[in-house]
Amino acid sequence: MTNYSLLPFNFRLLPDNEVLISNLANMYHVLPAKADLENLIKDIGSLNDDVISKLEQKLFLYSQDDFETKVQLTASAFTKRINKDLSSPRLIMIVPTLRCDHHCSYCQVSRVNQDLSGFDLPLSSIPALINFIKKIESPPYKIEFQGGEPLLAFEFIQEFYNQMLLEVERDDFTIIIATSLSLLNDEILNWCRGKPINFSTSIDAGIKAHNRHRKLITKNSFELTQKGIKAIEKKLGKGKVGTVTTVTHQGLSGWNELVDTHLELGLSEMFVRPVSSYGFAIPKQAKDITIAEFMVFYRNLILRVFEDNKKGIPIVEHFLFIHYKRLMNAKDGMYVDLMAPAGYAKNSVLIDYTGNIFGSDEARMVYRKYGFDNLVLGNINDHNMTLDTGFSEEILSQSFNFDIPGCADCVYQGSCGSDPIYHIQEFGEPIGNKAFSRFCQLHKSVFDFVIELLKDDSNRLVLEGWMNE
Amino acid sequence: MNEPLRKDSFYNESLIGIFGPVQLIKRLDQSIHPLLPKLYLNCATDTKVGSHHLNDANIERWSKHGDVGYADGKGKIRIVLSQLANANTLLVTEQCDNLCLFCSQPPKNINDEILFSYAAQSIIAFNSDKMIGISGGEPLLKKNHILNFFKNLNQFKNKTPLHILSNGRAFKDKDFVDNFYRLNKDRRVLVGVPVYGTNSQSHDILVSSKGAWSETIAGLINAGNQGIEIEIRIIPTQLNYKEISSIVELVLTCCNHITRISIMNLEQMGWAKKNWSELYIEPRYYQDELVKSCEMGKRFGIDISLFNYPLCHIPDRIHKYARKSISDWKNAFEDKCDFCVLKPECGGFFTSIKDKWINPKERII
Amino acid sequence: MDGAKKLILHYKQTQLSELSIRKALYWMSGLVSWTIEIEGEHWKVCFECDENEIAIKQKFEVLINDYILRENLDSKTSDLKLAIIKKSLKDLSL
Repeated sequence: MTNYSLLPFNFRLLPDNEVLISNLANMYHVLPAKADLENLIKDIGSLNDDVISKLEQKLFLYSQDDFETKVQLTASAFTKRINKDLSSPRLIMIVPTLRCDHHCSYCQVSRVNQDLSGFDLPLSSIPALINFIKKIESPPYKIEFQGGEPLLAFEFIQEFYNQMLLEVERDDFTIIIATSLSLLNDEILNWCRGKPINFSTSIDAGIKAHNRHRKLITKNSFELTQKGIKAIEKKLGKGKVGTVTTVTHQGLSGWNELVDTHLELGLSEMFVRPVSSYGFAIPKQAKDITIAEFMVFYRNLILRVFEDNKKGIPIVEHFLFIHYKRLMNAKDGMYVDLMAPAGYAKNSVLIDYTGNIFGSDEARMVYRKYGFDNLVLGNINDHNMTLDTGFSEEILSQSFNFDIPGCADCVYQGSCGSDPIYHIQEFGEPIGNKAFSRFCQLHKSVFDFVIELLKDDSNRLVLEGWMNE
Repeated sequence: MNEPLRKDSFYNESLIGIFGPVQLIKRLDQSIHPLLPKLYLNCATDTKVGSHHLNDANIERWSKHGDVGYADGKGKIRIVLSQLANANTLLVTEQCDNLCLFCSQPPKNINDEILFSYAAQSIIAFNSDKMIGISGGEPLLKKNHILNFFKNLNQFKNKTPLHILSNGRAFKDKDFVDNFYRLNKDRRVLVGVPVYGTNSQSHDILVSSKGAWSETIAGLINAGNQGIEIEIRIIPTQLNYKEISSIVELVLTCCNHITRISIMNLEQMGWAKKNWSELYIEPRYYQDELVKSCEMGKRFGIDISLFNYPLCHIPDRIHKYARKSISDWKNAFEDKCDFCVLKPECGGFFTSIKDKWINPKERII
Repeated sequence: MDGAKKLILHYKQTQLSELSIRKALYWMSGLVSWTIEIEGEHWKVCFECDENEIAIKQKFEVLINDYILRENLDSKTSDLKLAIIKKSLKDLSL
């Protein structure tokens, strides 16, 4: 009769009296009843043999003989996971212009009208920009143009591409242009053909909501986006445009329309998240939905997406998928928002139209609103620049989440991330009070939802199908 | 019927007195490495000292110019490195610190250090860029032997990739891991390490050595952290068939630099024969575990393969993970297999299995 | 606030530590304001609820139970947890 002892673990009560447990190796197990949790803590011997066996395989229990090795395995898994987050390559974001042809009610970047001058990165800054990129990262480089509206700075993008090609192998970089597509034309499309360039655009839940938020003088923002997506498929082929959907109060009943819209446009991928409160987004609007309200929408959306999948219609929702991948310790589980230590500065960097360097998109937005100087890590026009990483290091050292209140006991600790910039904005310091944190509530809810979906075999098969694509 | 696909052992009276590794030559060739004594097969030769001539149609048929064989001094020669082979493996020692219940090469406690020298010379002379297997016994048992082996290869600037089969216990020693890594900077080395359980119970029983599991795991962690490429090998048996996918999940969650996992159906060779009824379990009793294991490949981003599983023994959806047997001299098919439409993709059976159960997927007439 | 109901709960100090009760209260902050003081050998927790007194009590009791369990768990594993984390951080390739 082997005697077993406990390795450290966290737990969370689930509906239906079940209990989810996880450990430092980020392995998960669902106990069928709360009584099992109490037995596990107080009297292991009273547990079912099968349960004991499973728990031992997943590093929740050890036998005397195997103590040292089980500890080594756990420590190794813990280190491995953190290293994965630390060594993931940075997303390099460039804002060539703050000018924009839209003014969206939840815009987070303090856009300016497109006819203004003084809000663009000059072409002459491109060499310094490329030098900077090569200094802080190694290929393959992932570059994303944002704004304002990057297509208003199309010449800059072209020149950047041409100069990049002189410095780096063509296969060593990819470019994504985040745009509303309202300004897309044949000239742009023809130039993009055959190049490693993709597009990212927004499709909000509900056309009415889309047009109400994204104000264009001509009021037909969504129609232009639609037209743009079709043109991209026609001229550049499939898989060249990804979408991001922001859910606000107006969109809360539009889940079917959202999926239908994607399918009609020939898109098989979605990415859906609730409106966030960064930077200039009008505070009232930004907090206009609670996470609970979002989750009602989201659950309906996912159930619809899964139904389609079961009928053989391939459509992947990536926000859910990334949470699943994080729970599975999947190789491809990198997402800047869900990293601990935080992805800030380590996995993302943004160069503003002023040449200022920020550790993330959110940091840029918070800086514009609050002016915290230590969010500026340097400027690419400064030839003697060394990145001011002091502040970043301070943030990062506080963004391991295994020892901070609220996260230390959380069952999702190994899969979740910390979002220091969000917490700085809301609470004035990087950790924040998780009881009030939308970040915490959102991700916990989605993780809970994934666990719930996995209980059903047909749902589990959909997720595994996405993984094995 | 049970014929392997490639013949590799021969006898010829003229070989009596010739001992050790020799290189088979079929034409005059300046680029052949000068290291080994030459065996000229039916061709014009020079009269250099250390060259021998042989007229043997059989050996000629089953060899290519440049192949290397070991002659035993009594007239026998076994071709150990051949360009005709699917895969080449060299035995470097018969000593071992495990005693696996299914050992295909039962250990002998003899001084066989010379095998390392033979192996190094052969690899250098063969001069191939295809991977060569290194097996035993336990190749890493005597640390200075294996390190010298690498040094010898390095001395002749040989870069042949190597696939070393080891229980990994030697890697518990971090200094050894360091040296091992350093000496192989210019050469691709993949170490194949068997892990038979998620705890010491099943594993230590299967390898008949208490403490083996702990040392193997400690070794895997050290070697992986250093950057040594690792293949994990799992053999399902009656003692561990329920935990196959758990082993896969455990090693992939905890260890670094694992580049592939091979799940291998038990072969009826060596000691496995006498322990067959206590060890062997038919794949249909653990097919769920096989499916779960194969599908972890995409999740963790590595290659997971099944070896020695005839296609009619495993579910359709994991046929794509099944590979033909590693060594070609073990492949064979039964007569019934001629009716099976999957025969071209199937690896067949080991020459050694008796009482095979076969379920050919018949052509629909 | 005038007219706000007060929900008062007592817990024996021997039953649970201050740290545990504060951890439970941490998660209540988003819902309700609270105070905690010592009364004799008890913790006295005071919530300001409106109509949701029953829901608040239920939620808090669940949290308290959880943290009592966690205390038990920690007494058995917290040293090990610290040792594992310490070892891991040393091995990090920062």
